[in-house]
Amino acid sequence: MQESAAAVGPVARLIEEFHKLPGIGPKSAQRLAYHVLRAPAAEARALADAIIEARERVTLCSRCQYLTDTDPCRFCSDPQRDRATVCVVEEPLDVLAIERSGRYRGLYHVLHGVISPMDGIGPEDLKVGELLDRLRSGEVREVIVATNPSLEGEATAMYLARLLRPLGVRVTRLARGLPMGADIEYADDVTIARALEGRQEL
Amino acid sequence: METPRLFKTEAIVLRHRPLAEADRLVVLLSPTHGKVEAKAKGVRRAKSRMGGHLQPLTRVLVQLAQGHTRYVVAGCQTLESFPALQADLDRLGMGLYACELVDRFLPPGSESYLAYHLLLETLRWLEQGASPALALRRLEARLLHQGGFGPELGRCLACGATAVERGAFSPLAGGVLCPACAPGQAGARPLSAGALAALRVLQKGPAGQVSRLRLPPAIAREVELHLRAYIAHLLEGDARSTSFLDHLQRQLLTAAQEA
Repeated sequence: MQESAAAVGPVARLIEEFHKLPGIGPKSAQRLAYHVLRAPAAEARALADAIIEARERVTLCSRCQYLTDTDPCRFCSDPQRDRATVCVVEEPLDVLAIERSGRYRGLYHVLHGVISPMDGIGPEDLKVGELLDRLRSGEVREVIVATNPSLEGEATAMYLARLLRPLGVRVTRLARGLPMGADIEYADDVTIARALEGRQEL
Repeated sequence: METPRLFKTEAIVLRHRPLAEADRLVVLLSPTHGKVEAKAKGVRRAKSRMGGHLQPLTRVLVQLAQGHTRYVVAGCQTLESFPALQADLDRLGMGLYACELVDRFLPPGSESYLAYHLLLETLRWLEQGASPALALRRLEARLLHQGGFGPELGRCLACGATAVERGAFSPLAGGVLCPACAPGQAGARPLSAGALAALRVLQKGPAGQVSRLRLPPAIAREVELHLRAYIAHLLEGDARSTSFLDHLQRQLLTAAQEA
């Protein structure tokens, strides 16, 4: 990074570290670094402490593989949640998106990735074995596959369906179709075909 | 070829990867512009008008604009989406393998009519569903041949004998060895007469002859292993998607044994 060459040692290092974060380019990295330097010392320390604490205390829930500071996590230990339904998602952020809808009361399972053959990522690189272990208890009756509606997400969903159906579990997939506020005119063939397949009586 | 700042081309989406907040980098194969990388802005958002069109294994009509560092997708429309292929896990894995091979053996930028049509024919073959493995063998053999990487199948690479009907296949030497020259050659594996004849048809035979090929399972497996070893030699390792295909194969075998 050319600009950071002019910055002195610790500042250059701070800029480099910010630059490693996803979505942060060289300019943003500089802005963040100088913001930290201008901010009160206590604020900078609080940021550093928060990063260290999160890194040291947050682990994966031994049941659902979600990020948590208590094991089992707040979803798995909540007696109000429906233990017969497990929603399988790609990443921890997907759990937050589904929770925001306020319509789901079951448990989760985070795969931490998606099958992507061209990148050499197969089922053995995901938390699929952990999901199978959970299902062996016999408590779960339905698995909702909520991977992204992308080619890799579909491949993962088909793989899970093939793997889980012999266990006698109902395997369902999130409905696919037109998002709210979209124009049908611009929708692709696959989305329209699936929206037609999944049409519902009014 | 001088490329205008804004142009339209049909293309097959070979692969994609996330870029920044909601963008994707897509690798496209166009018959006229070859392998092209382009940024598709905002396509990971649910309301993106282009996201659904730019999935791998889709043939699209795409409008590309010259950006600062790479092309930007300005517009996109699906021409062919291979729905049956995408709904079948085994064929989907094969389609992705086909895309990976084309991606890895083709240099960026140059015209690629032959590779484009070969990939399109392969995807259409996989879409129809009959003998999908043969479609892959044909793609492997022809893609290598078109790119100048094809193995020598017409004469022995050690003594030059032209009437070779069996012997050994050596990825290291780059093709066949006659029975007299084969012993002691590093990495050479026995090559049956049936497998050699099949390899020749797959590499250069007319389309009708290839689709009529009915290989006994043992020959089909032998041809697969020879081509795979040869590709692994050229790529200095197996194609990445072969591990997923192997995984599915093992799963099928286990299921068959349990049944």
